[in-house]
Amino acid sequence: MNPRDLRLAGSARLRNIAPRRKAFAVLKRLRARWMCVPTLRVICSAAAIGWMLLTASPVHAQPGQQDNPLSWDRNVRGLFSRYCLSCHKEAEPSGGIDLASDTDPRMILNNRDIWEQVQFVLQDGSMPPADARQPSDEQRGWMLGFLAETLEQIDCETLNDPGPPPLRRLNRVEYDNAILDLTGLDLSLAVETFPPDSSSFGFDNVGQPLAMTPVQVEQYHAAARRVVAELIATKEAAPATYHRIFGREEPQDQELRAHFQTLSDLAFRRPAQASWVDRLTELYRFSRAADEDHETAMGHVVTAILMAPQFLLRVEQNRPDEEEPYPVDDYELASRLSFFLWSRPPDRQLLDLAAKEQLRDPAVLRQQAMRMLADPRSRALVQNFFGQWLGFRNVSTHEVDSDVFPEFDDELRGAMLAEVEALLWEIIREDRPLSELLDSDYSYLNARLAKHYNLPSDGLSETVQRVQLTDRRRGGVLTSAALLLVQSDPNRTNIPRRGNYIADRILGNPAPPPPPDVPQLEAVTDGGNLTLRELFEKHSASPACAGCHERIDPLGFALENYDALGRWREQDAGQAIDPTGRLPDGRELDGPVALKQMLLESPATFTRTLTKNLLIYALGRAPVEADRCVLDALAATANEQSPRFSEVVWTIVNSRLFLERRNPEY
Amino acid sequence: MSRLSLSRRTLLRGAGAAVALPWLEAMHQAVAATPATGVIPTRIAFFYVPNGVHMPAWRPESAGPLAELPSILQPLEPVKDKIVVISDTAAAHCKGKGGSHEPTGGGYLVGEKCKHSEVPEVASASVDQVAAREVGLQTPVDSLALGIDPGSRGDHGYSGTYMSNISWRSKTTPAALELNPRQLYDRLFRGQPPQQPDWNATAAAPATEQPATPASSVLDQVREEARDLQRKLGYSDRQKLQEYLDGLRNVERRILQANSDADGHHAEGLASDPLAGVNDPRLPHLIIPDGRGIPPTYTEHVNLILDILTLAFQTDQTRVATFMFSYEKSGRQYKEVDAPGSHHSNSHHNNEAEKHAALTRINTLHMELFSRMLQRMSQIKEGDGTLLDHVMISYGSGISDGNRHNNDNLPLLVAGGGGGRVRGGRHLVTEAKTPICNLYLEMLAAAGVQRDRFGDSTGRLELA
Repeated sequence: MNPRDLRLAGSARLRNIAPRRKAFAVLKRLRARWMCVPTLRVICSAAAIGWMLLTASPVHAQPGQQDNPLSWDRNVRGLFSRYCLSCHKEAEPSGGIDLASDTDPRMILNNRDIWEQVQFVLQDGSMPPADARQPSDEQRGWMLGFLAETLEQIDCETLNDPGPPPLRRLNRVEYDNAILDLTGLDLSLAVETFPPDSSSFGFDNVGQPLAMTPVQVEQYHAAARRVVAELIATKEAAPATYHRIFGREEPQDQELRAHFQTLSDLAFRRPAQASWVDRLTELYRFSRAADEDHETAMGHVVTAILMAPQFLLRVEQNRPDEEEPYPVDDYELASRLSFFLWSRPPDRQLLDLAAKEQLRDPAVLRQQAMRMLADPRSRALVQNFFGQWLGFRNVSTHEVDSDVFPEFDDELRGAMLAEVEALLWEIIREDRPLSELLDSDYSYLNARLAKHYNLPSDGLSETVQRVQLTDRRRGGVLTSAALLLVQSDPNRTNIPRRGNYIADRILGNPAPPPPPDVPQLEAVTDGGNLTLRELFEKHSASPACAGCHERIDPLGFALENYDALGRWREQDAGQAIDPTGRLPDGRELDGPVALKQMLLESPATFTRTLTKNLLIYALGRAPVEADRCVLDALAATANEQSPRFSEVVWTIVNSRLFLERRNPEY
Repeated sequence: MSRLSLSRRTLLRGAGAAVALPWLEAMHQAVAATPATGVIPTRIAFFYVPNGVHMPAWRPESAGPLAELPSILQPLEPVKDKIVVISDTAAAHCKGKGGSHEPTGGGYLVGEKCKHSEVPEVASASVDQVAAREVGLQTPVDSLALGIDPGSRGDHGYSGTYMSNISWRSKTTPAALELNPRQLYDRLFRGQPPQQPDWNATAAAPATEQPATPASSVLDQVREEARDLQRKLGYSDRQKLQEYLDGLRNVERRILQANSDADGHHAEGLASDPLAGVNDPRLPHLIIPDGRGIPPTYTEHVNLILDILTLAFQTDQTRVATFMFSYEKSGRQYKEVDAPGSHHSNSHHNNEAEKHAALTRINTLHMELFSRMLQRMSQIKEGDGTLLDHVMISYGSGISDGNRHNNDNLPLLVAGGGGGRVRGGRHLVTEAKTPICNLYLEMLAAAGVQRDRFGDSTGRLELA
């Protein structure tokens, strides 16, 4: 059981996301497991049993209780001070982690991310580093117990802040999809020509950094004019498209207004106000009065719609006098849902439900979410969520050294990408258990990729197709050529990078960056005869490196049998590859299968990392405290078995975070 | 490069003399931005190379006149009398908690540390944007933020935005990075022929209020709508809408100025190049490739972007620019100079001679491309001198040694005459750890922006 599972026990008591009955069941189950099978290494020690009994009781340890070994002021603080603060304090703290500034539990809660990291490294034994003074198992247990208790202090009944409601502009993908849905023209204007979208937390749909610069506005204008020109060009070839937008020539006022209303409603993803329709009417009349023809005048109207803030931005309505969070309206909910699952505006069905105010009905909402996941448009999640979270979006731009790998070409690159995309798409579409992300007994190969993997290519064509696998060295994303490729350098593998990738993206605990003055591994390069492994063992010898590298290098070594193109190999530069390694908590790894196995054993950890990222992506904002209520609810179910993607999606969609908003600061 | 395969259109432009063609005259009147007479403005630009520089091959041996140039600087030989190499400056603001490359981009031109956050927040607008705010309204485009690579995701709790952008319009908004030469060209010239201003002409009458056209009325309607909306938003969202409104005004100003865009998309206007019939041997060719408009090789891509930048300065489309040879922590590989492997990995050279050599080749390639641009600027007549005399361009990195990530002893040089403010041909060694912001103050002054302080500046680094 890992620390995150442990933490669940506490929060399950408090969370309100799942129905309460279910929460109690989970709690009972968890507590039973917790009490009976404490597999936690440090806590297993007899000395920690007292602590366990204490925390399992409903009485929470509180600061100020001086006899309590978990009290911050007397006991725990001293321990942190003795074992952590000599390196992790103000000015230039080691790894950039400053633990001295947080002088009470409240401040610890404010810096939750950092302290969760502390919890993790204390737990797996990688901190304090081997050459530093070590706490006894009992002391370590107290420190962990204190952190578990403190970080548990979330009451999902009262924690109701859904986070800041960011104004999100459409990113490039969303813009192109919006144009496509509105006009039927697949122009890819934004992806081809707009400046790249800024990303935060690895995603390019986070509201705040998506700026509205003058260059951006100019590109919108150019793009709008281009759309109009393209629409005019369809007049002969696709008259239906043309007339849907341009309407009938010489319309009456009423007809004109109705047409503008229809177009604007669709573009704005909600009913446009009458004042806007007035503006368009005025614009049309002005153009006609200047002796321009109907088509030209309509061109101006379409340009105006495509330049309108309600089209370019995802505006949600504030309620000026409301101090508490309130539900978003049905149209806003429709947009939240469709941009989340499809990276595009809501379709007719969603808009109709919104118009009838039925979408907020949980049964309807759930039915819609499931419909959308089964729809081909949810493939957007593969490219935009998984592609960015797991990083395979970079496959198309990753540089490969053609001297070292002359056999690499765009065809292989395409096949690699197609494989992971098809695999993920099956997991979403068929609603497979999420564990198949890490380990599946099938994959999607074409002849080229099968040869690359040294698997039979008989009967395979140019397009990837589903193939049953018997060898666990393939299957799942981590052992796919695509991800092995992008976590390599152009000419060689990169062990710490691959290791840190797993620590970060899968386990949710990245290593901090190397210290500013990395000591040189000079002895290594002078000799030249050392194996890669011996080279990396220098990391453990150097105290400045060991803390992190002991944690990430073994993960990277487990994948070392895959070369920089993701091919299996037994040797590197004439030397046999040794994929074994030992994590700081004592677990042994001897290659990719063991690595997969280890990751599969804590489905809660993986589910949590995925959900944390999916929440950022779904809501387009930085994580907030209340996110944990969703995470905990999901992780609880993930203890039993790996959840399916739809469960994760539904838990998010059905949470207050997704259903509600609050007013921004004025 | 086969012109047949690449050239959708060949763009010709006047280098030097004002071309006296009737339609150009007509255009001239339409462009209201012609500045005060007789004074040629100094244009400023900030060039950035990522991952530091191999300093032993950069730093000249002694202070004083530039004699034999170190290998990385050798491409500057033809223009070295317009170069000041500046040693021993520092950018303390590029140092960050828990990350080396990440805070460098966010700090380099801002002069203060950026926030350690996945949601980017720098301390203030960057130096180029401070200039753009003051002198930008005198030109059609207030500034350019140019680059080659889109960048990558962040790391160590820093937003990727910090590494991809050195130019920041505000605390939270990086200037939009333009990478695509065709888009850049189209945006700058909007189907109008580029034209060099006649700096000696009497100042044009202030632009009279143009009557609204249906095309500009589109923007009026949208603006009214945006203003209505703005009133209902929260503070930070109002800021975003304000940026949008500023952008609208920009578009509108240019529509009215050029009186163009009456029909169809402006890019189509270029299909029949108005200068195509002009056959002047002094006019360089700009070849913008078909398709996405991005040349196939790195070198060609950089050259084309820098040619357009040169053109933008020459025609006074803008007076402020930044350019990034790649994003900070770039993993680009430079096979063209036999530097395989990622640039970032090479910069962690571990004192290996081979990696030093590869780094030097990468650094030298960048310098060759830079020098090519300077040489072209030196051939463009402006008043009694050349365009190069009227620019002030800094070139450097926020990191010195990529293996150590130190932010002092920075690689830094200034190119151009700065309108008389810069005495070139020398190596200036400053007091150790002189803030790089001292140079920025001087560059602001060159652009006509008076400031007492910028970032962590302690005074102005004068180069006369």
